[in-house]
Amino acid sequence: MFDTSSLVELLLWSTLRLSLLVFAVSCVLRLSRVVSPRVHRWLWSAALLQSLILAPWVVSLPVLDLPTATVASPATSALPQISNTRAQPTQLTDAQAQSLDQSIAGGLRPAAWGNPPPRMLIAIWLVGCGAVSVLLAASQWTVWSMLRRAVPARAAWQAQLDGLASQWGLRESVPLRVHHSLGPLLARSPRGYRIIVPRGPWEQLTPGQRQAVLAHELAHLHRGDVWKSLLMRLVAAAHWFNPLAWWAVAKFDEAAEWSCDAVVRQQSDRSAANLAAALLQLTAPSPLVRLGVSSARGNHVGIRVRKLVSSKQDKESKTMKFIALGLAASMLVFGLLRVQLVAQAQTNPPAAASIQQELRALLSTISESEDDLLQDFGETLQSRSGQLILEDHLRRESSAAVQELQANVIDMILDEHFDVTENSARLKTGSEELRERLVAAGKQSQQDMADLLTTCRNLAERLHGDDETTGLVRRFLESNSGATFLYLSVLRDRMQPGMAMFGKSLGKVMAPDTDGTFHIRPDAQERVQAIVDLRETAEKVCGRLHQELASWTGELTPDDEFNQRLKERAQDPLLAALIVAEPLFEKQSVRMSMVHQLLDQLDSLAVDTANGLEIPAESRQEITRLMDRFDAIQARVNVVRQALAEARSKISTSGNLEQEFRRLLETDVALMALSQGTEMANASAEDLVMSVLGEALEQSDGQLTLVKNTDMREKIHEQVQNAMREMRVARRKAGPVRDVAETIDDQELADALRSPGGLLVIKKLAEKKLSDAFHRTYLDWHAEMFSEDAGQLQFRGEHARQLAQDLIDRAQEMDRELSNNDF
Amino acid sequence: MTSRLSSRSRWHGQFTTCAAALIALVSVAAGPLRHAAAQDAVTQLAADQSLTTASVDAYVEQAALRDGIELPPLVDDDLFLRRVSLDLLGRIPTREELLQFRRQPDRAALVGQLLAHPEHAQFWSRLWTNTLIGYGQSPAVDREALRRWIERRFTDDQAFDETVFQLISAEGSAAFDGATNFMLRHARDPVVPVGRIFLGVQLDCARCHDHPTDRWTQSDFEGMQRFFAGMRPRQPSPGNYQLQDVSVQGNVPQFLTGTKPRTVRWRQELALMITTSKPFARATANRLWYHLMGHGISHQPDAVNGGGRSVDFALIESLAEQLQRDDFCWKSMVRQLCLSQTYQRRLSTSGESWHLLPTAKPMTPDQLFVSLHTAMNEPIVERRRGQFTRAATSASLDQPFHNAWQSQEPLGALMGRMNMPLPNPNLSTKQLFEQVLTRDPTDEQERLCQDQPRRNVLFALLNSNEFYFWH
Repeated sequence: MFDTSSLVELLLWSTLRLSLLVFAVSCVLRLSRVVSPRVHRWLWSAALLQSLILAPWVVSLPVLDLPTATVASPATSALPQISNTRAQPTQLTDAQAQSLDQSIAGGLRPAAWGNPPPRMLIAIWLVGCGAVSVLLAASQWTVWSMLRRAVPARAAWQAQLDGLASQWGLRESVPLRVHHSLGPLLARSPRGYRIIVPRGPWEQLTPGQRQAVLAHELAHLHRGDVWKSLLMRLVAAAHWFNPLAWWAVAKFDEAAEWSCDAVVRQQSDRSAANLAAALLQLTAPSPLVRLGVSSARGNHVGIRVRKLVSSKQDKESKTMKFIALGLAASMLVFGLLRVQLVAQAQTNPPAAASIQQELRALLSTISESEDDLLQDFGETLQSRSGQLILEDHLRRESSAAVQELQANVIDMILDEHFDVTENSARLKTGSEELRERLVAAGKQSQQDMADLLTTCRNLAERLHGDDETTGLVRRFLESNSGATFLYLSVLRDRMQPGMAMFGKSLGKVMAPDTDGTFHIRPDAQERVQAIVDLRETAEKVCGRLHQELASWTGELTPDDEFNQRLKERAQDPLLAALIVAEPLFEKQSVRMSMVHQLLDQLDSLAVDTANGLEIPAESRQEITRLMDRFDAIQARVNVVRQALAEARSKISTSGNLEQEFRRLLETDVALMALSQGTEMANASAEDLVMSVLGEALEQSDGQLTLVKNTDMREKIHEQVQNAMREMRVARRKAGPVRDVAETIDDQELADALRSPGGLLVIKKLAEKKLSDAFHRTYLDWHAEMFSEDAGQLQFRGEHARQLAQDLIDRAQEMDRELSNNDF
Repeated sequence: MTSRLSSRSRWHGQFTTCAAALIALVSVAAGPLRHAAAQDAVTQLAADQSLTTASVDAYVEQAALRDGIELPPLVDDDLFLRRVSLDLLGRIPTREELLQFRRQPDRAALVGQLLAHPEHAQFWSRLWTNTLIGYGQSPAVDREALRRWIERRFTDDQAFDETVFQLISAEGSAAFDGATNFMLRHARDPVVPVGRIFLGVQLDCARCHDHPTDRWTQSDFEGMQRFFAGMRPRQPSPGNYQLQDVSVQGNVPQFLTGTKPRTVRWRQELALMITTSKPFARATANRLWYHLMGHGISHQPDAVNGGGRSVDFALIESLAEQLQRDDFCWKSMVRQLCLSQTYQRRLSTSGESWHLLPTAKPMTPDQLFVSLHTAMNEPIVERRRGQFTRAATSASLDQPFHNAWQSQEPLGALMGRMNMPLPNPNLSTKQLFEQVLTRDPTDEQERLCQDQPRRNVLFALLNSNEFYFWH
């Protein structure tokens, strides 16, 4: 059974190649200005013929990295749970490998083969080929039937032709036939070649012109153009759906005309002039001449005439001819070879890939090996015990490396980004982005810390008590470390706008992926969908409610403080958003009818009087509570808006639901919904510090003391000691950073490096480096174990073989131990 | 004449008495011998044959002889449909499904269809989620993420031992790596639930002391506890939890078989030890039997490998070996058990249950929720499922799975509490019986319901034990 998918693929590949080459030939001929008909013919025929090569010889060009396979989000650096010994989803099957291969080679192939089933496409193609063949045959039949209607030419005309034929060395006479409209053309009938000329125009020609035309047609016969043209048409029939193929055939035919014109021209300039004159007199042929070879094809007659009277061919550069012929040859080679970009074989796998991908790639490579030990090793790595043993080996290896790294990681980061000499330091080229991060984080933290330091010192002054714990807490608050610790451990999240501010609300529906991007939690997707579906309705309800509230409060009387306040609030569209927020986010139910219900409720609270609407004092309490709540939110709304924008930027843009949710978070309703629970957004520094230390302190008569509870005091004592110890460790570790800050010329950067925010940026870089340590160990192990020879993976020496054997033995020991499996 | 008659009668009476005594004597003498022979036969049967539907039935028939149990007949097609629908889809069949099955009563085909039905994976994922983390809520646990993960495993027909391996060894985010939620739920005390659910052993007592009658000591517990020493739950952002392992040093853990880990990945190695162990296969087989038959071959399901072994331990062993041979293909085992005559037998009419025969079981809250909607022909509102489950389980919210069947509240009261209004269906009595009880009414029932408002009939049927129980 032939594979229809493959056939469709090959056909499409051939079509793409043909189209590209036709375009390329056209460009080359136009740019090179090569006029030789022979070169034209070779190039067009090469372009057409190479399309017959459906199954080219594949040459792999190793230039690409292995593409990443789809894997579950790796939460840790643990080795993959590839498979147990039975299920084998991980090792690349042939089909998977082929699919991977195809995806890699996609750069040179049509990107998508479309959705129709391959068999249907093949059927359509075959039907098309058949139909075109029938058309060609029908045209041929028509020409033959017209030939039968053509009459023998006058004896003088036939004699002229015979004379020419003898000059050409033709052994057999070619009958000349006269038709009332067809010709001049050379046609092949079952009885042999015939030259047909149109009666009317032919009689108008001079003998010299007739001779030139007949010479042209005999040149066709001599060159076998009828068969060549038929061959090209059959080639194009396989690409019947591709207009470029037919265009190439037309160009090939045109070049044939030029060749035969050139033959006439070579006879004498006079002949060329006669032919040119004859061409101008002969009319365009009927469409049925396609299967013959006509000397007066209507198209491009002007070009032919110019060529006949031009002298340029004589001056044509041979170099250009060779270039063009070289192009023709390379086309055929291009058709014969398929260059395929494949993954570059690497002894050291690329660092960007995860260990899961590395191990999969390794297993797929091992499966092709003929080395028994390597095969055993591959089988071991497919078993659970083998994977555990390998991971254990790597973790033990990485343990020492991690310890070493932990000691030097800050220095390594500084080396990576700074040129440090004895007396100066300077940022390396390419580290500008880090500078921006450092400066931004530094400025923000300096701004945040200024008030915190003052507040902590004030608290320390107000703290009374002579006991040890109070003294410790006082010392903690007086030092820079105290404020810095509070800032870095707790207050930074509360002070800086971002996702952390909405932990209670957004945290219920979103969770960070391993890369820190937030996605909708699977269990919250339905709820979120219900909310985002109501976005447009909610906005309409908000708009309407805003209008109605403004209108309703416009009638309020008297113009006292309460009414004025209410009127002002009603002018703010955020009030309507606050009212709509709760039903939208809590109940996922927003309807336009709620506007009427609310207004009805307000009407029931108010009384119509001669002066307008009056809200009695007893009804004002509820409205006052709403306004107080609104005012409290209003006071922090700008901070919340900024935080929301920051949070929005961390939401994934990949999923539709996430995108819709991002749009929802741009609305006022979302702003007001999420503003609730963000009371600390605009809190003072003292409020913030007290939000952390409040439980530990008691306040009376303006004096602060520590709580009396002994257990609590012990706990406070221990926590403060730990905090101070942590800060001392952090300060020691930051020593090299401080050194750089002291010597660097860039004052802004120096300040950033000294600030808590800047140090935090460096710390995150260090954590990232440490988390990559296990992966690096794997890469080192891979490099130590394997090398590649002629595309075959092999162990790198006896040591590697020994190591592999050890791992196999350990896995087998584990399996033996696991056979003790009952109790 | 009278005396002769009297004499004959007396003689006849004496003969009868002697004969009876003789028979009784022989019976008493032969009883233990017959019992022992029957036990040998069933044990041999379990040991010799790879488990098939027929061999389960053969074993149970031999065991019934051994225990002097008369096996009840098989259930009719309607009741079979109801049983397998409840067990495999978690709900009663719809009326349309009943009518279709009546037209083509092919039981094997039906089981195949239900196992391939999307609701099958959904129901079993809920069942296993409740088994793994109870009905309670925990801030660190993303219940739905776990359920969806299990559902995918069932949908893809993944090997059950592989599923358990991943549950025990999982690392990652609660929201996106569903399997992590089992360990996140039990992060503080993982040994007891892992022992109960996957090994069928109860290590609760050993947590604090060496129980005088228990096999497992505090040392065994501590050895198991060490496997989880490196487990670190963390909260990278408010409301979001992750689970990771760190390398730890110190005392090396020890599995209950005495095996010690050979790597630094202790938890992963424990997962491997558990899923390759025989107790795991036995516990899994017994739990499956428990779910389908209403009680385990060894009751309780979380103590199958405990001290006192079931008299039919050989059957458990045989099922376990079959599971291992089938690469822990869950559906294969479910299919075999559902098509066994043992599963298809009627409940005991004598009122005494026998541990190898099906027993009546009340619906779980999940089954009840979906079945109520099916019976009332109402669409399911998913967000009410949780509320219903909490209302139905009330005090036993965080109990393990097997207690979930012990809900005591009358259904009418529960529906009232849940504000579930009864519809007034426009159906005949026969149609209502088909829709709610999956059977035709008797003549007497038809007569009694004839003039009653439909809503009342529906209420009565929904509040019947026949609806509330798998039977």
